Amino acid sequence: MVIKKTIADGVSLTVLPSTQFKTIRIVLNFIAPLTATTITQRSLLASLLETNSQDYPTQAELAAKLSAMYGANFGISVSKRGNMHVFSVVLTLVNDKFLPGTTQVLAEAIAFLKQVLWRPNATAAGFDNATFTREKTNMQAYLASVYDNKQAYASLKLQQLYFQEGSAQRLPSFGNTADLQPITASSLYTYYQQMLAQDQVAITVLGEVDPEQIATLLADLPLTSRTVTPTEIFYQQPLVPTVVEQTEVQPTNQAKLNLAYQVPIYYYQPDYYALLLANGIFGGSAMSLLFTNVRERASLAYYAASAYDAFRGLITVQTGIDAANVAQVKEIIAAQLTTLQTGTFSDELLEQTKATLKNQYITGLDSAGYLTTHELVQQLVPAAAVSTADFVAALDAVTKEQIIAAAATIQLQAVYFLSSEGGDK
Amino acid sequence: METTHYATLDETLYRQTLANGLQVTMLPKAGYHKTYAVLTTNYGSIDNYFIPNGESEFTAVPAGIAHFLEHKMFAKKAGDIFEVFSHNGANANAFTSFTRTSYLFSATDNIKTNLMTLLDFVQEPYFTEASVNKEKGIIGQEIEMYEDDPNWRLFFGIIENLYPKHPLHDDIAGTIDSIAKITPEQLYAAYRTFYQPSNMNLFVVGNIEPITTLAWIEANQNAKTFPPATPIQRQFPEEASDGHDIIPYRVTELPVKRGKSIVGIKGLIPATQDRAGLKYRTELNLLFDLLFGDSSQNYLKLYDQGIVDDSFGYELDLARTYHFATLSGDTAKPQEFSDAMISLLEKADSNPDLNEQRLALVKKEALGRLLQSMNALEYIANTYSGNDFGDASLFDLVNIVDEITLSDIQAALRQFVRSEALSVFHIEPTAAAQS
Repeated sequence: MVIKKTIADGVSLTVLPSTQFKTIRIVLNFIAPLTATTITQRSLLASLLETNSQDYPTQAELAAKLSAMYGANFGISVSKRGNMHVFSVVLTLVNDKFLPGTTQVLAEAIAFLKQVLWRPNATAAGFDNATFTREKTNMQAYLASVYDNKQAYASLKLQQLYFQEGSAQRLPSFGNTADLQPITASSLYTYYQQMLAQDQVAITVLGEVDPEQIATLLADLPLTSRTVTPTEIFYQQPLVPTVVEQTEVQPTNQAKLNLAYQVPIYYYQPDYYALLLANGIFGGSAMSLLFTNVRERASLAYYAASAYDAFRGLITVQTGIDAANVAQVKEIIAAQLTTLQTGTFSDELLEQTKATLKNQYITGLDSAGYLTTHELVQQLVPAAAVSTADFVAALDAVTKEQIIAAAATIQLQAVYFLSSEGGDK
Repeated sequence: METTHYATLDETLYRQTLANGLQVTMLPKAGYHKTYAVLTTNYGSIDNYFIPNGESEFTAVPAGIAHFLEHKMFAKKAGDIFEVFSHNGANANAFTSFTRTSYLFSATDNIKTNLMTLLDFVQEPYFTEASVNKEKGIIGQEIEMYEDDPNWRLFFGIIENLYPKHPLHDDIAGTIDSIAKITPEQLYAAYRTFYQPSNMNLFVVGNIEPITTLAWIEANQNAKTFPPATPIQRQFPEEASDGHDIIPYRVTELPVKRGKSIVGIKGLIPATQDRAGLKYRTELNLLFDLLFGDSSQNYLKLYDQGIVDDSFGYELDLARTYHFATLSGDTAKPQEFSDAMISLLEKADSNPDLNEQRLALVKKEALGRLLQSMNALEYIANTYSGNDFGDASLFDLVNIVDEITLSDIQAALRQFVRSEALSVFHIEPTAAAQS
């Protein structure tokens, strides 16, 4: 029985009681509209708050505290959901009943969260300088090293190419170097105060817990009322008349060809299920048209897949190929889209894709991380609150004609090619 | 069927070795929707020199053949086996390590059918000249992808240093040149030798009922005929037991933005593949947690000095014929990184982080992490079937961790960490990449 409570205006608590897991997972989501000026600050804050606090002034002390709570897992991550940016504080701990003696890790864990978030290593003047400087330096090094992961690099370059000038969507969810430079220990602390006071907060607790006890423990967190201005979560931008193309050359062994397509269908809107299937048929599984034709038939790639971002109306395709084969691969990809849009794929492939997507959805229910994320998404998009049975039934009901109609809206917008120099191997 | 209940973990394991030698292990998980099954053969990328089943002479096969075989197992006369799994709503995959090859599926429905598909497709090889040649393009791209991954290059860089002769130093997928030489005949010979049921294990975890599930598996196996189990004869080049053939240091330049450093420690005294071996591995893991874990003073000091950052990590791999540990990280100063690590390792015996109080702390953490890992069906299955410690497994770790004393850890330290067993590998950015 899911329990939902409003702790204060703009602060919600959801308890998902479950005996399935040996752990309790506590997630505090701080949600704000996505803006170019705050993405990098939020990312740096995640690093700082994970490092130390007033009560645990060194990393060693903070880590020792987590070890003492039987290896409790504490981490902060940042992510984009359409026009929203989510700062997620996650603490996973072992259910007290599996631990020796009368251990009470749960109460200790919530007190710990209060300490690290509301008593950061700072004074009125700002964050502790030594900690701030080191984390800023480390983040700078991390941001530079994204270049070294070619798959991630190519995805980010495609994102920059596809999203229009001035849109915060162009930026990585973890920030960028240009915006990092001007941040100071003092400016970041000021922003943090604002974030704590003004962000929408969605707390989710999953596991074998007493909802009343959780509510009582969480009431101790200084989360005051806040005004949440409704923001349209789905991102939209006008179609460009001509496909934008960019080629970059780097001395790599493998070239990367990434493509971006716009789709006007969003999370749990009426045609959502049809597009989910369309993407699955196109490149979403090991049976998909892209995998079969680029990899299995033509032997041109090890991976060739598509992904659907239902918050930003975007389908992306990723492949790793030999630079010399780029024209052939582009042709094969285009032909697969035509197959999808004309409905010339087999009924068997449609059935396999339905079975695969159902399996994926139900498998998600076995992951504590998936369940708490799904809860967050339901808060952001109330239409997403469907039962498993309804999800399966809706998927089953989709016809080939509906898939063809949804696929007809897929429009190529950007092509990014990270070419290798050829001879350098 | 052998049934073992592990009280602390609150899990019950069901084990049975079938008449043909296949080891079946099952772990029912209440409340879970999915079932995950993994069929593993004790055969990996290092097994390149062996007597093919039915022959009498040793033969050398090209590097990457175990992984190649894994890819080709999915191709059947009737088509691709992924289609059959997809039809039944299962998500299938496979992976190859140094010593193992595993085939798996995860599904929420049609478990019996999917389980039969898994057993049948791995027990019916079908290799043709045309399909073997076609795969070379795909695996060639896989190799190139890994070639561009600096962490992969770093890892193999240190293994090449530590194991100048042992085939561990070959990339699991082989090279473009080595896989070019692979033939269907070689695949069949490797298959005949290593895919005998007596060399394999099946682990099934999730929404299952053990007695029924075992009955399905037994019926499937009883309906097939297998040649009698034949002992497997493999050979590995001998490496110097005093470590004198270890390459102590190499550096390579790559077009990366950040440098990397890795320090390797080669286990010179062979570990045993039994409970004592698992205990030894656990002692070493706890040793590294004590010395380099994020609650250690050593880590704090290195972090504050800017020598390590969040990319820092340590790993220990102990399996058939080898064991080694690595400490690695991204760094602007690879030399400082490796100097600091070696200095800590060489004086580890008197390091203040090695004390009773910290041991109690890291043991607490180890117990908690073990309990947390019981949520992850894939982790449980892959760890159980990927390890080879005789009757001992990850389920025994609660007791093993509990037993370990500081003096055990000090003894493990003295046995494992020796100056002559150390090596360093660096990746430095090319001048062009830095600009």
